[in-house]
Amino acid sequence: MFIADPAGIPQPNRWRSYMEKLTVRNPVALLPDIKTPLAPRPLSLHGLTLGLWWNLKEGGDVAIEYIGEALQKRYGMKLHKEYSAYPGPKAMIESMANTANVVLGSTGD
Amino acid sequence: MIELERRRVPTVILVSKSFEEDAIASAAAFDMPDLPFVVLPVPLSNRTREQIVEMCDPVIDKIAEMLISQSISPAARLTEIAPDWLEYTGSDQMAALDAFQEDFLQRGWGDGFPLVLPTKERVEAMLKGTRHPRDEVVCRLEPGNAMATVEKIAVNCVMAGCKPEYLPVVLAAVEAMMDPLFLLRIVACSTGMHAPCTIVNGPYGRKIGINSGRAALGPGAQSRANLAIGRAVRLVLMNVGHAYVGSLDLDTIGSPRKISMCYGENEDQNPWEPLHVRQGFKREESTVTMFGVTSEVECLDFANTTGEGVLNTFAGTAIPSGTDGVYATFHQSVISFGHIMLLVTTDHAEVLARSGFDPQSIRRYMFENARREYKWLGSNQGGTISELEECWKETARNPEAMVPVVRTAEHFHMVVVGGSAGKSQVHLGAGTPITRSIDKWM
Repeated sequence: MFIADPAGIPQPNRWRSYMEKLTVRNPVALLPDIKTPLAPRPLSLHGLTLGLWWNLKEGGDVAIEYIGEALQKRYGMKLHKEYSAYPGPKAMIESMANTANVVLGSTGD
Repeated sequence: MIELERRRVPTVILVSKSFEEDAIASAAAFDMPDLPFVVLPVPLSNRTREQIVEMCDPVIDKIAEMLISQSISPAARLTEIAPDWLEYTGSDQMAALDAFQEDFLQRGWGDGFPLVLPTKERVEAMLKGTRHPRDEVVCRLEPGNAMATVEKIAVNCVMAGCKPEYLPVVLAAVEAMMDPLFLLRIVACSTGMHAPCTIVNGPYGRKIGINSGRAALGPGAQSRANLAIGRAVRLVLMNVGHAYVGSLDLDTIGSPRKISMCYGENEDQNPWEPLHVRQGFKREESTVTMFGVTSEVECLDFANTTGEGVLNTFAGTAIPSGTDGVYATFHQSVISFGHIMLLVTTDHAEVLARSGFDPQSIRRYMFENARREYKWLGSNQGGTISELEECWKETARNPEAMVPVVRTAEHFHMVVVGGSAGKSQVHLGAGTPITRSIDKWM
């Protein structure tokens, strides 16, 4: 690339030497360094209550109820359903936490 | 599921293959990267029971195992953490610039168009647009819940082509979107085509050249500030909110509105109080109002010379059957969803004001008249009548009953915008429009 000097005579590009390297800022924000552990798992599913959680999006209920009934037969589990559109009301979370030992959820997606 | 895990209840969630990255990113966003899920081949909606059962059979053993497994392997990190500063080299300046553009695009940090280089000098200049310190955390921005510092927002403003004086508008926009009533998680992550729309009011908008007249939502030099600010909001949602396509942004088809959507209210030709005054601010204050727009529909009316006539055209424009606003009207939900913004041109505003209408009476008229038979508005609901809001259960048994497209008259909002012609617009939307001060961020 050439630029013209005031007399109109082409000159080598004097900017070239420091324009060959570009340094730019990373635009991505970081997550805070926090990791919440999972709930402790039971040793067995036998006799436990399985919560079924669904956000009313089509098809999700069919899947969790089918799987829930299969686990019910296999492990003698009780079923507890909590269904509501997103976001789940606080009372629904409370009810599920107080009733179910383990939970299977589906959003349909 | 995360809330239940926090309450010491083990969970497993079903996720389809196309939502797997979203599940990983969502778990990380809520500080629980190990959240277990089981992957199904496709989403469950629009499938027969037989198709769903066929997908479920192979995963039953896996679900049982995950509910008792004492060691769950953490999900893979979706993106590497890049250094704070990145260097690009080339045989000449254009080659280095091309290398930057290509790398940022490949990393998913761009919107598809060429970006402005966020060099140190440009970022420093951008930060002069606000008195707030660079390391101030505006919020943990949904949906990814990353730390939205003033500096990271400024970097994305540079990339979007903003001038430093646009920065306070974008900072106010970020603050507004974090109001729970805006429903940012839905606007950002939904499979629908929601776009965050920035509406600017007050003297600051006029000072920095926000276009509120002809083609305020269009391309061109007259909308430079609108386009750059709208684009900055998108880049901030991506790089600060981590709403990347396929991971926390699950658009099915998408919309070009998501790239940039910003306009000003035409206060000079508004016969009523402007939007920000109706939202509780003083006329001399400058504000942004954020609204999650799902669809825009033209409202053409060159003929009517009465307010009722013009509003009947608006009412007829605001009754589509397939939007999720309509879905929310009838479905059980704890959130206020399906708000509608009327973008009234100056010609239509003049007719309405001459007929004695004001924003409140316009709302009431729209609520009473933007109605359609339930069979058209309720046909996409699926499920059963038992899942409907209590007040609609009886109505749903009569498919010919006329029903409204929103829950209340307060779900209708309006601004005066655009040039002189009878071509208004109706913006169907998500949550409540949220207004915040720009002045605070100067």
